[in-house]
Amino acid sequence: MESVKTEDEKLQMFFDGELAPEEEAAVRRSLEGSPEGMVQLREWKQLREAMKNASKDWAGEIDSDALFARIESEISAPVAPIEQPALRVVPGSRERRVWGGVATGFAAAAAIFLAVMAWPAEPTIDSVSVARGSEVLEVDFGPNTGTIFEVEGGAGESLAVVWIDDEEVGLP
Amino acid sequence: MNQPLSSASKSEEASDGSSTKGDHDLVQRVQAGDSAAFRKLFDKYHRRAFAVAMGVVKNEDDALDAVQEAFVKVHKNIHKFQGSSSFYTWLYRIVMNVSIDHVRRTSRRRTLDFDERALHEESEVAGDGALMPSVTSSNPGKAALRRELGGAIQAALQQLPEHHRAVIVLREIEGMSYEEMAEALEVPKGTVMSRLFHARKKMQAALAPYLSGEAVPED
Repeated sequence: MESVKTEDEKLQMFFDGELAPEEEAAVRRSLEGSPEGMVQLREWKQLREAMKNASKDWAGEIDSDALFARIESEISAPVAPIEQPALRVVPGSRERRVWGGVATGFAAAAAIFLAVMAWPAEPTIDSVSVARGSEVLEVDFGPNTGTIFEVEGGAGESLAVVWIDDEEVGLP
Repeated sequence: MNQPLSSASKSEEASDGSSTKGDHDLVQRVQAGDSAAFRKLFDKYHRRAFAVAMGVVKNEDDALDAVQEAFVKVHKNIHKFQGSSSFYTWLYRIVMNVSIDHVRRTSRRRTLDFDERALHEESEVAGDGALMPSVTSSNPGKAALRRELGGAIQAALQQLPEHHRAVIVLREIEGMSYEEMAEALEVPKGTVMSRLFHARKKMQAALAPYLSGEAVPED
């Protein structure tokens, strides 16, 4: 070990079998005159044994075949098409015709910037024809989460921004 | 002088048969599409993965969900596993992350549902108490005490911050070395040691009625 260790660190490393042999021997010698150290070690040992026993009890309750069947069925399930975020907008400020459409695809940690207000009349997204002055009512984020908020554009216009989180949880 | 209480954690992997080489062979077979090899990896590790998950989440159902999700992720991403670390370190990192994420999701949901739950509090006397079975006078046996202690351990674990819970579960239940924990949790070894020390201290305090500090008779 490269750094100077405190007594607590040494004792813990001794307990965990992480000391070099010569350090271990030194701690063992020092423990002979340290009842407190021995009590500490015993409590750690009791804690370890209790946790191990508890974990055995927990693991003993598993129906392994049923669990594997669940995993297998999830693995072999046909891959569902990625749900594209759907928008519901109101074209124009007066017309209340609501329609849904597929917006853009998303990538890892992707943000979709959708300029609805004050955009040219011709849409830039194939499947979405958004008229100037439209208002975003709702976004279906599919399996993801996200946020809709408004920002002011360079010309003072109001822009709707749709932020979609696409985090892959649990992977190193 | 009593028997020294140190333990050689590094030997545990080999002693329980989970050899790194054997795992890598299985991983390679899974990467080649061998589903029987995947089942072997599952058989080898799912109980230990479940025990790790139980140390993090609140109940058996959540732990099963976490193990399921972890193995699905393993299967889905096995082609990315290069073998630079041991398979089980990789697996436990996934189990731990999935479990922690599960707790976060659950606690978020719990926060959202709080008002509604508060209304029904009286009718939910059992609630999470199911984790802490009471020892009645009619059930004073060793098994009941062990069960009570198991419940107390789980309750104590739930009180720990996630990063403390992770190290103590991986060390005490899984028997990982400091090096392996550092790798699995992606933190420096010194951080592992410090977290482990504090986690133990908190667990000792929470379980004080059960820990005597006196010599434990060997089984």
